[in-house]
Order: sequence, then structure tokens, then C-alpha cells
Amino acid sequence: MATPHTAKDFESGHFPTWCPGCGNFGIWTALKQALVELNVEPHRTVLVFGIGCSGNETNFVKAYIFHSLHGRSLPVAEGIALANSGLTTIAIGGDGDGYGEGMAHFIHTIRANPNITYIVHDNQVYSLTKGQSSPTSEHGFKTPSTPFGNPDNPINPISLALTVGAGFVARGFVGDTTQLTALIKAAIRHRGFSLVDVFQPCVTFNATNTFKWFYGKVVKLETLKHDPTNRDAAWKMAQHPDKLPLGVFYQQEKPTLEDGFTVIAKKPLVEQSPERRQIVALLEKMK
Amino acid sequence: MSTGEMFARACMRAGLNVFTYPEYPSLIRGGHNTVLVTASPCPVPANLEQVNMLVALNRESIDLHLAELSPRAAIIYDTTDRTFANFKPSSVKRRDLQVIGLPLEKFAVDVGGQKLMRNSVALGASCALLGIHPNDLTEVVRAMFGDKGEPIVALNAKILMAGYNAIAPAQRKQCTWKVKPVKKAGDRVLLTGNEALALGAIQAGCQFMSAYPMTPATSILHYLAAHGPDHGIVVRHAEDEIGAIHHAIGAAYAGVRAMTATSGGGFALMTEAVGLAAMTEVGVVIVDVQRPGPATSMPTWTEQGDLRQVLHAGQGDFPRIVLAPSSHQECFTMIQEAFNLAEQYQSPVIVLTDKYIAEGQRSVPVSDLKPVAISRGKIFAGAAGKKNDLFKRYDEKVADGVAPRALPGTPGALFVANSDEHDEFGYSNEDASNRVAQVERRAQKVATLRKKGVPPRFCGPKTAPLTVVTWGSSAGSVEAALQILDDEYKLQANAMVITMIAPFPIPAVTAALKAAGKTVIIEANRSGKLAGYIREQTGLSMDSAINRFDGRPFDPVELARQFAKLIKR
Repeated sequence: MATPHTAKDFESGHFPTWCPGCGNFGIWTALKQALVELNVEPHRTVLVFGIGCSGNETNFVKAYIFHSLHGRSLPVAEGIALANSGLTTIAIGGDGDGYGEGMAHFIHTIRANPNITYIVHDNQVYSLTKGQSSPTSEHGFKTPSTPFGNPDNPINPISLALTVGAGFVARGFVGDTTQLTALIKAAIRHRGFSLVDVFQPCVTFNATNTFKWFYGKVVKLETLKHDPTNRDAAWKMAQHPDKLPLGVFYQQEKPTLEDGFTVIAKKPLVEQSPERRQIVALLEKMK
Repeated sequence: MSTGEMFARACMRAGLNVFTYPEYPSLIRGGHNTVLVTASPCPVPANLEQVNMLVALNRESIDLHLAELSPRAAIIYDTTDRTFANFKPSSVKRRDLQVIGLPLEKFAVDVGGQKLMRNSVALGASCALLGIHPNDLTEVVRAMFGDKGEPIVALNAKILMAGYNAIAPAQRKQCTWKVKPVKKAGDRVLLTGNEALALGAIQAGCQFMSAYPMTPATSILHYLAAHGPDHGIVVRHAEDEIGAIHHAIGAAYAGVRAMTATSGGGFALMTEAVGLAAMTEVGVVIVDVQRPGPATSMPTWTEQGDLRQVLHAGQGDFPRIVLAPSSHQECFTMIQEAFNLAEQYQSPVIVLTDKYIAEGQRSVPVSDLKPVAISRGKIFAGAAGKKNDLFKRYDEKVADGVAPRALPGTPGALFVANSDEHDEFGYSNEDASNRVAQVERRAQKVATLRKKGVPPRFCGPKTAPLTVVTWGSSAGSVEAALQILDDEYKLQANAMVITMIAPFPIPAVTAALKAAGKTVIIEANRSGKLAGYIREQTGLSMDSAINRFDGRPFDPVELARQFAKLIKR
């Protein structure tokens, strides 16, 4: 039985460099709390970050950390999951990093269904680069790169994940860290790829999608009597005309990527020795 | 293609050395496809541009290869192919050739096979003309088709013998090209450079391979996907090349031996990740099987054009290791060295080959395919204190630049593998003094390796009037040319083959060039990439250069002619 941890065990000691009031504080809190409640040990946890304000969490959290390139947290996390299925592997991205640069990996990692959790800091703007529009920004959003209004239409990460066939799709909001903690726990527990898209208002660069704006729109899926085993219902909820539902949209276990490799059926790859390979039989076939 | 392989294996079983060279366009069906098999009692490091026996399955094959046919060469053509409908052997503008027409498709069908097995009929006929014993042929059939069941083996053997028996004794006598068996040739295998590399990766203890299909690297993925699972390798067909390299980096960071393989265009996509591996100090092996560039160019042809791309990929200054196997046997051994170097120096290691070596087969003595002892570098096994203690993964104080790594899951060894510049624990850090310390420590890895590095390979006499400098698959053509230079011109030259490109073996190359007489550099690219790089590293230039960039390999006969001219000048 592992020694019970506290949130402090997951803190690096470096104070966050996020702006006061940043939505990221809520995700940081919820993530630490979820790991504590699940009794996951810091040395058996790998957090893989991309680049953005979300990526800066690299320095504030304590575990095995991999700070990857912009948009590339998912494929690194997939490699880690295949190499060592005994770890808790969590990938973290932002709406720009994950749904922009990393969109191809988002779609294909869902298809693969490796046993990892993906938490996306969704603030509908590129904050670290100082305020440009992102793949989840509203059409018409005015920013330094789109001063006459964003010409693109936003993606809907929830319906996109459902379309590609994700087995766990959830959305949270930093204004309700209790719910967010529960969502992250459920996501980590889920066997397979789990998406937690988190509304996380950027107090510095997004004057449209503010905390106040969110409070007026969010509603819990439980309140709407949603059945998360019903994919069609989940799809409809994702497209809700005037509300932003929060909670687990859909959950269904299915074979994971790891299940497809007999090599790791009994033992994690990293625990298998690379020594003493015998290629005599292969050479025989070439004579 | 497998007919060429059958012929090559039959020659190999007769005790000869063989080398096969396939040419094919980037199509699935149609186009002009050839396999040139060169067999000899002497070593065959490259093919010559000459044909002694041509099997023409369509009319244009005769026209396309007429110039390459040697004196008294033989042509076997398919009288049943519609392109030969109005063909008369007398129309071939060479009187010295032995032109034999056989109803190849009919023979195949008559013994119960299909029309497309006609090349096996031709193979049987070729073997009769060349004096290859039918037993060697049928042994090959058994070896190649054995696991498909006895009926398939029997059918293929029948088809081969139908062709064999179609050749009359008088025709056999007329053919002056003969395969003379060599006794006690030793235990050998026939394999492509890609197969040698894949086998070497298995031998090296590769545990993870992620790749995206790209000609001419794809057969590495296919071979490992088929055989990897029996040898403890997880083989992942990735969504794209960027996914592939990041999968490999993640797997290597987690503690397994990991690689990817691609061609120049795929490597181009991996560029940023090369820097990520260097910055986080994760050892991965990246194979670039070169083909002509730029962009899509000629996917199924050969070139040595990616040297600068791999040397300079990725923004900023960081150490990397680049190896260039120059033979099939080196594909097997150098990939093993690559994995060791990747883990010992915690660095991306790029292995450069090209289509000519990757897709051509060569007979290699089994004794040349030696295992290289596995060395995994410095690994920190964890501390006894608190399980979530940090450790100095990027310790500035290590003399050789290499700080021990810890595998995720190890208690008391937490750190950050950070694409940002970082402190000794891996936390992001932009202080000037920290930056200098980390850059210097990483650079020290190159300095350390340079002292131990792989010297060039030398062949030929110790001193000679001409020294030929080359790398990669061109080395085979050069070796063959040196032999011709000696046999036919009675002149001597030696060769220096550069196999470790980075860190460059500056002292060894400088000494060799200074001691050399005339020098010439052979490489398959237009701008002389290795020549420029040698000049950059040593300050020295070669006297002349021979470059080929038409997608085809060098012709040893032509090289020998040029070498003779240079020596006599």
C-alpha cells in the first residue's frame, strides 16, 4: 500500500508564472487533487506537455515530466504508454497547441486508443504568443493576427472526438474544480484514451469568453439527465444550441492500442531485456 | 522481382558471390521493371552496366538494353507475348548475340501453372544455357516456397524444368557464358541492405520501431512488423513521420531502444524533433534511406543527397551522430553501433543509406554478420530517500558531457525532460550562465565521441598514385572499379570510405589526404556534398570529383576508366 500523498508531493516548489486569476490554476489544483485521491505516486506518473501557457505547468508540477514541442504531446505520450504500460501517462495540451498544431495527432491518437488521459486547456486563444485566435475561437474574434475578425469557424472538440470514436469524452470548467477533479479521476481510471477538454478563461487576452460569460452558459450534464452510454445523445449534447454542458458526454471501453501488441501482453516493454537476441532462424530463410 | 532472387540464390548455392540491382518506376503496374543479377567467383560489391543474359518479357526490353549486352550475350524472349507478334530475331542489329525465342506463357500453362509464371520458365532456360545444375534450382524453389506447401513447390519446380528442358544441347554449347560452381563457398545469406539493417536492429535489441511508409525505407517497417513480435519489438505504423519520431522519442525516454526509418522527405518532417531529442537528451536511432530530391523527385531511384540535411537538421547548435554504412554487412553492424551510441551519448543518431544499398541484394557470409555487444550507457537506478525526490539529470559537472539518465518509474529520480533550456533538474531556465553551462556540456559529448569515433575504412594498397574518397553505397562501385583498374589497366589505386560522418574523424582523414598522391571523390549528388564537408572539417580539398545524379548507381567500368585517366595524367 503506497504512502498517502498530498497535493504538495506533486508540487515542484517553483511558483507558477501564470497571470493572477488565470484559469490554469484551477486545472493545476484539480490535477494534483485527482492524483492524490487516486493514490497515484509521483514517480509512477508521467506528464507530457506541449507548448503554451498550459505547457508552462511543466515547471510547477512534480512527477516525471516531458515538455514536448508545440502540438506534439500526444505522440510522445503514446510512445511512453507503449514502452511502459505500468505508468500513469497523462498528456496535456492547449487549444492552440493540441487542436491547432497537434490536430492530426489528436485524431489519430483517438483512433489508436492508447491508455492515456488528455487534458486540454481550452481558453479559445493563443495566450503564450500574446493573443492570436485559436481553433476554438469564435468566428469574428478580433485579435492581433485577425484584426478584422477571425475568418475561420471554430472546431467543436467534443463532437470531433465523438466522431473519431473516442471512448471517453468529457468537458470541465475551472470555475468548478470539484467537478473537474472528479472528471480527471474518471478519465485516468478509464481504460483507453480519455479526453477532458477544460474551459479555462484567459484573463489577459480573451475579453469575450470570460468567467462571467461561462457562468451564464455552463450547465451540468447530470442536470440535463444525460446518459453517457448513449453516443447519439452525447453528439446532440455536444451541439447544444445555447448551453455549454459540462461532465462526461460519453464513456465506452474498447480494446486499447496496447491490446494489439502481443509483445506487451504479459510484461511492460521496458521490463523486457533487449539482450541475447537470436537471429539464426531468420538467417536460415535467406539462404 | 522474385525471379531475379531465385536466380541469385541458385548462383549463390553454386558457390558464387551475387549482387542484385532492381530498377522500377514509381508505379504499381506496368512500366519497365528489371532486376540485374551479377554473379562471380570473386566478390561482387556492385553491379556492372553489362548484361550477359537478357530475359526479355516484352519487345522494348531488347531495345532498352541492347547497348548493355556484352559480346556473345544471349537473349531469351517470349514468343507468346503480343509485343513480339511480328518480331524477327534477324532484326536485332547484333550478329554476335544468341537469340532464343520460347513460348514461355504456353510452357507455364501446359504444366499447370498460370501465364504470369512465364518468368520462371525463362529462368529455367537461362540456367540451362549458363550451366547451372537443375538441383541448385530446385533446392532454391524448396527454400523459397517450402512454407507454401508441397503442391506449390512441385508446380514451381515443374515450371522451371520445362524451361530448362526447352534448351537443346546445341544451344547450350553455343552459349559461352557459363556459371562454374565454386566448392566450399561457405555459409552465406542473400539479403537487401534494408533486411541487413532490420536484422541488425533485431540483433541490437531494438524494442520499439515506429515508422510511416516511404520508398525506399518501407521494407524495414515491413520486415520488422512481420518478425519484430517474435523478438520483443513493438512495431507501430504511425499516422505520419512527425508522429513516428515522437513515438520513438517517447519510448526511448521511457527506457526502451527505439528507432524510426524513412527517406529524405520524411526526415525533413522530423527536423524539429531531432532537436527535441538532442535537447531532452533522449537517444533515438533515425534511419534515412536516401533517394533523389528535392520534393518527390524520383522515389524509386538512388542518390546520396541528404548529407547536409541530416547534418544540420533542427534549429540551433547541438550534437548529433551520423553514420553511413557502406556495405550490406555494415548495415548490419552499424545499426547496432547506432543504438549503442544513441544510448551512450543520449543523442539522436542518424543512419544514412540509400536505395542502391537498401533494395539491392548481396550474398554475405554469415560470419560477417557479427553481433555487437549491447551497451546502454549511464543509467541512474534511483536513490534510497523519498520516492518523489528530484535528481540532477542534466548535471553540469560531468567531465564527458554525459549525465546519467533515469527511467520514468524509478523512485527518487524525478526530473524534467524539457524542450526549453533548463537547469540541472530540467526546469526551464533562461539565465545566461545556466545557458552557457548546458550548451557547453552538451557540446562536450561530441568532443568525447570524436576521440573515440569510427575511423574511415581503407581498402587497396597502403600507398598508391591515386586515392579515391567516397561514402555509402558508392563504396561498392569504387571497390569494383579498383579491381578492374588492377585487372585490366594494371594500375593501382586505394580508397578511403568515410563511415562516421559526424563527429567527423578529422585527424584520420587529414593524415590520409596529406599522405595521398592524387585524390578524387566519388559521390552520387551534383554539388559534391561530402567534398564540401571534408573541406569544412579539414581545410583540405580533393583534386577532382566524379559525381553522378541521374538516379542510377556508378558504373565500375566507367569509374576504372576515369581513374586510369587521372593516374596517367
